Amino acid sequence: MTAQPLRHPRMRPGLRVVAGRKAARPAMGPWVVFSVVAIVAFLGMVATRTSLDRSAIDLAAIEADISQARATNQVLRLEIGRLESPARIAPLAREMGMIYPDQSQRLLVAGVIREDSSDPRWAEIGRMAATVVEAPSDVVEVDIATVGLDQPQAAAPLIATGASDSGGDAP
Amino acid sequence: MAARKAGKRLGAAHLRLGALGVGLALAWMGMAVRLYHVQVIQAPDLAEQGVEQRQIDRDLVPQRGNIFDRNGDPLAMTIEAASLYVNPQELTEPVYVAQQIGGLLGRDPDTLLQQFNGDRRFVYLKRQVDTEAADEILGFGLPGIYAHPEPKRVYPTGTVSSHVVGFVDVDGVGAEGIEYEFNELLKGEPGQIAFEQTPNGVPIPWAPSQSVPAVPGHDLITTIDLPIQYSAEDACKSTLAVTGGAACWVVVIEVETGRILAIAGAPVFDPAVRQSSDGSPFANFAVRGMYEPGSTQKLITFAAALEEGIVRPDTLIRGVDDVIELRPQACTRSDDEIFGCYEDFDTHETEDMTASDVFRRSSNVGTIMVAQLMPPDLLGRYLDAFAFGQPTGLDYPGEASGSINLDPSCEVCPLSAAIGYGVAVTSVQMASAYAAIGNDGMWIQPHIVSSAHGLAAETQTFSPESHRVVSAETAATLRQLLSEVVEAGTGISAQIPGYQVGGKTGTANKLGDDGRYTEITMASFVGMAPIDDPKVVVAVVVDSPSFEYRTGGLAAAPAFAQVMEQALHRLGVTPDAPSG
Repeated sequence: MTAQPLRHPRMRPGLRVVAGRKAARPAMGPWVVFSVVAIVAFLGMVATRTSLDRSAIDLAAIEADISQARATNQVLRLEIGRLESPARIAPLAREMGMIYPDQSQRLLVAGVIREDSSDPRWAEIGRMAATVVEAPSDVVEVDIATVGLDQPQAAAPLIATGASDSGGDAP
Repeated sequence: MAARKAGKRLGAAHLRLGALGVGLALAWMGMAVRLYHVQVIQAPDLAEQGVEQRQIDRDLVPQRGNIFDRNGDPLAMTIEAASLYVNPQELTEPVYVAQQIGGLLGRDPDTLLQQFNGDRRFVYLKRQVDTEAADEILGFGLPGIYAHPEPKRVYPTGTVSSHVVGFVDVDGVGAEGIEYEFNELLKGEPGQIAFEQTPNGVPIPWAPSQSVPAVPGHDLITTIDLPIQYSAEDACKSTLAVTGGAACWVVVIEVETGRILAIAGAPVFDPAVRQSSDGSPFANFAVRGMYEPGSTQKLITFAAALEEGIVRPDTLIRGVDDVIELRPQACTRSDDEIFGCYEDFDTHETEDMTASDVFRRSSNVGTIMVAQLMPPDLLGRYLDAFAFGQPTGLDYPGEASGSINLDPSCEVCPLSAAIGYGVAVTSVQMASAYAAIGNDGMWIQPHIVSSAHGLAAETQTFSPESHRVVSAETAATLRQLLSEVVEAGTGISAQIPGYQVGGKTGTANKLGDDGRYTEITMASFVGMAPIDDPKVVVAVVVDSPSFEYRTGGLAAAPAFAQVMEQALHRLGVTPDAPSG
């Protein structure tokens, strides 16, 4: 047996056993809670700020798109203006064989003088009807039954019906 | 002894710990000092430096207002373009850029290379190119080539409205025409924006920024009717091709309102490139050019005579010869050929003519004889009332006032003025005068712009002046005389199918460099239709037609008929005469 009797441990100088109450450990709970809350709040703030910044960047991009769309709209309006310019259309019309009409034709709707109408077109026709004593050869009289009184824009039937004797072609 | 050794070991450890602590303390102190130095002492300068690096100050160019015709068709617009430039210090292939890129853009490579040499850091390649073309060039990825946005003024109708709209210079400032006259309204107000951006050019959200928004310019609505404007230009081009004239000008006025429906002329010019088709100046002769009107002036003479009761249409003027001497031997002495000798265009026997005949046949002699019945200052007063010898107030830059020579010491001057010599007028003045007759004697100030519309929907409307020049009865009588000119007088070529037309021809010899009248003429025709209730006045002036077309009836009246017919159809005016 090699066991050696324990020596009395030498007391380290300055240390002695003191009888007393057990040392109080500090409470960790509140600090943990506080730390968790702080971390969560910080992360939430970061997330919110990041979201706002991203929205601002998106807004800037949308505004740039709007600006681009406006610029494109102007270019398209320019193109429309060029396409609709009479300087472009008239030569094309001539190439297609279209000519400027060299005769004017009046359509006198017999018996239709709507004095109560506010439409100036009827007033003008009424004036003509009042001044024309005899219908010249170039004035076409149309039977009232063929006239759409409620549809003064329906010019095609008028011409087709009235122009057969004058030799004019229906449009 | 062991305790002493232990104490010595403890002391060494304490020393090392202490040394370490001191070192750490010194390090922290150094950092603190440095932090204090950076965050407190240098903070303002560093913050300013940072802002300078991040902050962008940019001027906001206002959108120039558009110009429209009366139907809302654009005559002038602004689009976004790009101006390409290079930093020669960053170019790695200057020769390639000058030749290839410069060639693509229409620049002379040698000139560009010269500009690339030296210390310059900014050289324009080309200003105001299409954004697609700019993107394509930037897409080559050549270092040193950049682009910045720049607005570009464009004219969709090309040459058609160029004499009315004018043009802007390369910086977008109005230089001619409506662009110049209304530049203050069109240009808007520039803005400013200051913001911070990252090195990548991305704006920093929530960073301090200031902005003063740009205010776009007003849009202008003109009185021009684009199809009629085109008809007028087309008629002028055709007229020059037929008559061989040097220039042609047409003015179309709406009688009841004074609105200018068209001012056109030939040769034309392209406002986009600011070059005429034949190199001639851009000047709008209809507004700025003065000419002796000849017989078209007789309308004013007869207006004065009829209004004052000096003559009636059936007043008989006895002994009208085909030549008259206002000074003794004026027609035989070569040095008096300028003043004092006038003759009718057609030779005829001495005969009695009614005032109506004199007007219809455009007899110079008969008109002078009528003028001789008038008080000396009467014609001058009526010329002034019809706005001759002064600007009409047209909203167009550089309007000529014309001139009237009624010097009291010149006894023949009023008589010369009676037949349109010794006075200088503009086409706009003449058209306005005839419009007054068509408007039952009320002269209305001609105008081209009817309203201006701003961003906040504020609208400026331009109201023309007006005043009476003759009574409605005199105006009606004059219209009857004008219709006789077209029915059976010198203006037969002005007849239009379906409409009753009235007008007056004018054939005025031009002065040569030697101060004597030549055979070269200014041929004109001014007329209105429908004669009983005129809606439109058209004035046509042809400068220097060939000899066979030297008269107003041959050179100008056909162009008048073409423009007037198309204008009446365009405006939907009911025909008032049988066709054919």
